[in-house]
Amino acid sequence: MQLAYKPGRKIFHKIDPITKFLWVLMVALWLYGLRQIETVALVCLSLMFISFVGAGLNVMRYIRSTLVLFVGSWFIVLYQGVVRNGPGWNVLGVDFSYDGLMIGLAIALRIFGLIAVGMAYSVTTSPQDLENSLVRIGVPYRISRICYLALRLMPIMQRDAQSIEDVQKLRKVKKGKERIKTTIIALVATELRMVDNIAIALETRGFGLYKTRTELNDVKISRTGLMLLALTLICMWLQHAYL
Amino acid sequence: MLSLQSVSYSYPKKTQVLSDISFSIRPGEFLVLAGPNGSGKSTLIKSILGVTQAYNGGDFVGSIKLDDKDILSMGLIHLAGEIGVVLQEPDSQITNLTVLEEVTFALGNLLYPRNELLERGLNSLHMLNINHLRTRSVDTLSGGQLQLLAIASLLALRPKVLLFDEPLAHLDPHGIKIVVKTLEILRKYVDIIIVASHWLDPFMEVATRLLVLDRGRVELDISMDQLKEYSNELDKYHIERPQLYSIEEHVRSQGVQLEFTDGKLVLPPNHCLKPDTSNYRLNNNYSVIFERVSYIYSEGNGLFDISAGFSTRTRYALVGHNGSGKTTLARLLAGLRKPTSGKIESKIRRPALMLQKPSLGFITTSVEQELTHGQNFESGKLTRLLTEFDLERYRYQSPFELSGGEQRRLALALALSCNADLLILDEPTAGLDSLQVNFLKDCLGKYTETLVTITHDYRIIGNYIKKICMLGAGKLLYMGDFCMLGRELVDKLGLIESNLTLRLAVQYLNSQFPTEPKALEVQKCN
Repeated sequence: MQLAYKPGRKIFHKIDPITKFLWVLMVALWLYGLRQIETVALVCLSLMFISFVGAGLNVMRYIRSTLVLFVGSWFIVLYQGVVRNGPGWNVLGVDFSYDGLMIGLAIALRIFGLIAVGMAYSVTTSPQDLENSLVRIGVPYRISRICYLALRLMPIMQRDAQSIEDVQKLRKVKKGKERIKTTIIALVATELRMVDNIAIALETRGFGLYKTRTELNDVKISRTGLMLLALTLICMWLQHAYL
Repeated sequence: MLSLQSVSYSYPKKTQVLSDISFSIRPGEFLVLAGPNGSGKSTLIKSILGVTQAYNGGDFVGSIKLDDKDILSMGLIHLAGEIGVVLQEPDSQITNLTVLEEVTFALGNLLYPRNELLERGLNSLHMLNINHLRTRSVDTLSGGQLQLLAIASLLALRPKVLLFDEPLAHLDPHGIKIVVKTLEILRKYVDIIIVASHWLDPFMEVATRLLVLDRGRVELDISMDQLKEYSNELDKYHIERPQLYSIEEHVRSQGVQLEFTDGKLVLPPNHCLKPDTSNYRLNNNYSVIFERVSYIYSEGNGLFDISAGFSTRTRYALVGHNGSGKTTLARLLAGLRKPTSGKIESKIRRPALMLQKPSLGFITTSVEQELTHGQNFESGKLTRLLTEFDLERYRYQSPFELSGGEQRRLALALALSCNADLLILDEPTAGLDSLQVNFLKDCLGKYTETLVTITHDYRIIGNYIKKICMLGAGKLLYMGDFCMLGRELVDKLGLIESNLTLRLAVQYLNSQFPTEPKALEVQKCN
């Protein structure tokens, strides 16, 4: 639930979801295009700082939720060091190239930077705003509602999955494949019973009757969002010109 | 006017569910559709919505008209704003994440302008006195509040007809109380209200007409004023007779004159308030002892400082509001959670748990495998079990394909057959008629070990289960004999006025008679 929306008054909360989405895309492309390790490190650390401050992300939570990835990223670094040629070091008979290690480090840093940016987006964008912005960029509302409905059903499924786990422990179902299989079957079969009710609830509320619908909140491009885009473009130009 | 003409329906496997049903309902009527489980109540509700055939296939005959419009040819989506339905499970009919989004959702679908969306949505919340919930996330609402929200979102469209399918089945007494109060309010705004329910008590004061269904046929169609003279007939259809009448009969048989004010009866205060939580240590005959046990979730809620003993071979009812910690206590009892602090001494070796959604506990692909999984049955025991629980014909069928009632029977058979020394049941009687509840009681009657039931059902608390464990906001409020439970505690939890009021009244009267018959002072609620 680290990615769940948390209402607040941080700068990122004030930015409209469309501009925020464009910003995420922009920085992703920017990071992809960077080559030098020093530049990647500088940009990634800056993006992390902006995300932590702008979205009020909890640093400890970020570290906890990326802990597994942190261990995994060492493999990326070492793998790149081994497969790439060039001067470097020999450790226990294995050649590690300096360039390869730096490339691996750059990949890992990009991943951590993007995670911070993605978390900043998701914790400051309400599901309703996300749905509205999808509609605004041309996704039919019937489809965008599916994403929204999934978020609604998530806590119910989480609760049911916990109940399944409890019963399976008492019934001494073996851990591993058997437990995973039976959990999925029980969960899907139980939740499928809700489908008729959801369909009736949606139809009696006129969902899908017209091609469009009136949204409770209109998505307006925010000035803060435009300023963030402009600042990011300036930084990109500066980096391109001087680094 | 809503009229049904010669409506019949059978499922694809040719099982007849509705047979030649004809009746009309005029504006201003509040109809209760009663009948035992499987009598066709829910199918009739779905038929009025015009979705039975579309959703389930099968053969549908007859016509259903709202004023002059043919419901069947229109399709449900085109009836949005004219007919609404509130279903049994609160969770599955709320499709938005916040209260405000939910209450304006239908209006948005029908292209109301944005300013009207907000105005009508808020007005709808205001009508049901739930304006204070408008900024809340739906995940934080209780079952009763979710039902009110479902009603409010439909009410925003000003429908002519509102249908309810067992709206109280999954609610605690507090939830029941607020939904029933809301039904009274709704009469001002909605022309026709139809409620399918096997339980009549909550609707005694608001309904105008009763229609009894049995095996898909209309067996009784009377006004609520006539209910008293027909009350003996209700037993025939396994519909519990309103408790008001039972109490009155009981009191009259004792030669006491008792008057009901507005159909309500309240006990004199401070009847008896002494819980017996202090002496559990003296009794060595226990299964589980909690010594200052706390279990705290990361959100800060949970159970706090619980000290209590659960005796062997005793039946307990675990009661309290939603979120009071019942489920957590049950999981601690079963050894599925470790306490954050405190100590649990347990002699339990083999606990069993039956969930409110029984299908979540199934792990195999046939009823037979489900019952034999991990067990060494002697030959004949399986067949006896299947026969006893009326599951023989489903022996090789997937447990997930069974109906809700059948799944519950299978889960019960499973729990009772595994030689458990602690059996925990989560709301086992929700939505069951009196026949099914009696079946459950019979089955559990053979179980002699410790039984803990999370329930609010007056049909089993008090007479069948005599020990009560009451939780409120994670704390133990009371633990002891039900008949010793004082009014103040019940009142505090909001249990009074709904089902327990009447049961308490019976308990009270029983404790008073026959030693010293005297007139009981009757007060008006609130």
